[in-house]
Amino acid sequence: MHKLLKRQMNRYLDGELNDEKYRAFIEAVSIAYDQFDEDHALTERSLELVSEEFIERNESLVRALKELKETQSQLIKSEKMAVLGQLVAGIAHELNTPVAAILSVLSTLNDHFFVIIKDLLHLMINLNEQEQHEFLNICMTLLKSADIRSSSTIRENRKAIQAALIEKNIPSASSLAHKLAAVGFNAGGIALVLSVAGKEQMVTLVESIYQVGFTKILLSDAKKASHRIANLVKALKLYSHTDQNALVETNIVTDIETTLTILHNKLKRAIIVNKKFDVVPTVICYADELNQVWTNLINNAIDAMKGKGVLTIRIKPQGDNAIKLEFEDTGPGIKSEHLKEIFDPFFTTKSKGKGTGLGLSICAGILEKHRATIKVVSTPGKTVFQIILPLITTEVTIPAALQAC
Amino acid sequence: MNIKQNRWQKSTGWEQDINDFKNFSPNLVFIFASKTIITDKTLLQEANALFPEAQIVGCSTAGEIIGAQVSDDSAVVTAIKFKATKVRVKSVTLGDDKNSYWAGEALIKSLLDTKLKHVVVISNGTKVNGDALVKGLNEFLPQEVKVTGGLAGDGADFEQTFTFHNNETPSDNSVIAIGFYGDKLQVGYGSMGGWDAFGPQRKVTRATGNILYELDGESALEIYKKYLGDKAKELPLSALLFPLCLKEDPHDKNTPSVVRTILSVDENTQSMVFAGDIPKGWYAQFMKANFDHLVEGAEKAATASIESLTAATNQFGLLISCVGRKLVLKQRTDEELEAVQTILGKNAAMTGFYSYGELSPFAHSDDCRLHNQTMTVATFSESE
Repeated sequence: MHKLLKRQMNRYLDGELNDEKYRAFIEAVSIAYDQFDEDHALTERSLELVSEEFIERNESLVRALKELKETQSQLIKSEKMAVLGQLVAGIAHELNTPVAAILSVLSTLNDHFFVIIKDLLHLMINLNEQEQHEFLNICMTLLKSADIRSSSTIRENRKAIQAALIEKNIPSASSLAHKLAAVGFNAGGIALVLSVAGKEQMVTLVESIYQVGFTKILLSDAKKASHRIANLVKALKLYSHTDQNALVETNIVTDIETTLTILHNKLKRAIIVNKKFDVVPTVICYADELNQVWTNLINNAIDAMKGKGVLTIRIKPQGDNAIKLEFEDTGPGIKSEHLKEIFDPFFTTKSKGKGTGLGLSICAGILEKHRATIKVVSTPGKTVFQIILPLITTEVTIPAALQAC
Repeated sequence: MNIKQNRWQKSTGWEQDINDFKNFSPNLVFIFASKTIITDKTLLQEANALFPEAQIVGCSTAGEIIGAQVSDDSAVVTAIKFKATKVRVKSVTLGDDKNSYWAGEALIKSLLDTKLKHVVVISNGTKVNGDALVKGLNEFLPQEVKVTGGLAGDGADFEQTFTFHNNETPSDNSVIAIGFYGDKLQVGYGSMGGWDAFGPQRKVTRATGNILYELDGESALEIYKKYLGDKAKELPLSALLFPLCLKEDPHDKNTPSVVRTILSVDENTQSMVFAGDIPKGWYAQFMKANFDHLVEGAEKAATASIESLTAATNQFGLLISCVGRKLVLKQRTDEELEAVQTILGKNAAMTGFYSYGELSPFAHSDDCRLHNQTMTVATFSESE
């Protein structure tokens, strides 16, 4: 008999019920008690085993998740490096042009430096004090004047200068007019020159003015080339954001402009960039990661259009708490059967070696991290990637279980 | 439809006066009995003498149901006299070249008729592949006719089950089908479990047909033994405490899961034979009993069985419930029968048995399926 039943019978019934008719009843109750104990023990055991199994499974899931995150992080890094590799090649090309221009200026100046000094000294000796003063004024005005680069303007100025020189019977009028027009003189400027010297000194005077003007043009070219380099360096600095992996406040319009600067080498040939940028609030985000998204979307658009077409980028506020970005290209479009897969890892329609198939998948991951949404609408000749980006990205909380490992 | 019932037990004999059956002339007699009573043949011979004109059909069980009571080592007899409905019975024997699918196909083909209204199948419980049988049954059945029934039992032994038809020798290798014909008969059915899935979902990594070897790359038998502890020595019976809930997609909450119970274990191959197929790649989860949910399940099955019936009274309920439910409900088994009786009404005669598998559609538009761990109710009503 079950112990509890025996105790209850002792307590409430002063021992066993001797009556024969209760025997079967007592036995059934005792069996029920025993069975209840057995069921309870089985439940307890199951609970314990299930808990153990879940703890074990949880630990292995945490391990797997950690490994997965590490792999994912590696993949993102390698994709980023691949994109950077392409960008570096483009930027190297972009830097090469102004650097070559500066080198050319320096080389020319080096070659002509002595000739300029000699011609100037020679001229100054032959001019009186008043004429020297007027010559220096002409040079100063010339150095301060804006560059004239339009060939039609130069041509018109040359004709006017030549006419003025002929009128004064100055020899070699055509050659002198050519030089003066080339350094920015017009018909008004020639009057000053004519007032400085007579016919016999005119050739030396014009030659010297030309040398000064030519030097000014060279220096202006070098300055422009230096600005171009400085702009690229600034864009690179902005693009890579010094506060990587941290939430920073950034202006998305500036970031897109920066990305376009970085990608200029790919865009400049035959792509018209149509910027429709409204004034938008700043965004608190992982800016360097978002730059990876913009680069990827613009790169994809360029590839889709095979380097030729119109890229329209629209940025505008979306309600009070988000901004909307649209990247529209005039490429052939994405096949409807591919639309569902384009954000899947390793999906690519690019030829082998051209795409890893990770770009859009990583973009989707980065946008998800920002609680942003991305959708795509594509028809032949018009593909639009639309992104709604919240103004504030909250820090992603990492579960305690993951922090521990 | 008129019905007379009686129960025979070795210790007490017939409960009611046996003379009640005389001059009753039923069309159909269901006899559900323990294996011992069937192999002894005395009672079956007595029944054949009592009902010379009737179709006598029955099987060995893991518990005999009469009214809202279950008993072991007994025979329950239900004699039904239809007013208009005709009954035809066909039996087939499984063999090396005659598999379960063939049995299903052969039975339906032999019963097909424009007036066929319903089919009840009483099958062998240990040698049949229930899934294959059901496929064979469904294949040739008209859409509007459904099959209900169950697999015979052998107490808690899972060794040898019997089916019998009239005075043929009881067979441990046969499947019997009863065809009901005529417009006056209405049959409703419902099948419900009430078990709760618990613990991790494990992938079926190695299985062939209804034989399971590995879950998540581990021996399924070892996992069972770990959970059963001391009760592992009572295998295969004790495995009924943890039936398997099978799902193709563990995250899909809309598709109904399939429940499977164990029939036997093989220590040499570390395998377990289940009452139906265990598809490789599906996900299995242990289930546990919750008394209240089991009784509610029986109640829901009964409710579903009368939903489509338009007759004023439910006259007869054929209850086929799983041996696993009896194993866990123990002394409370009668509660699920009482729950069904309450729904069908006190005037409805009930019989049936605790089985090794239940046959019924999930819903009225569905084909028949093999179930485990359910209460399956088929309710019959014959209009005047």
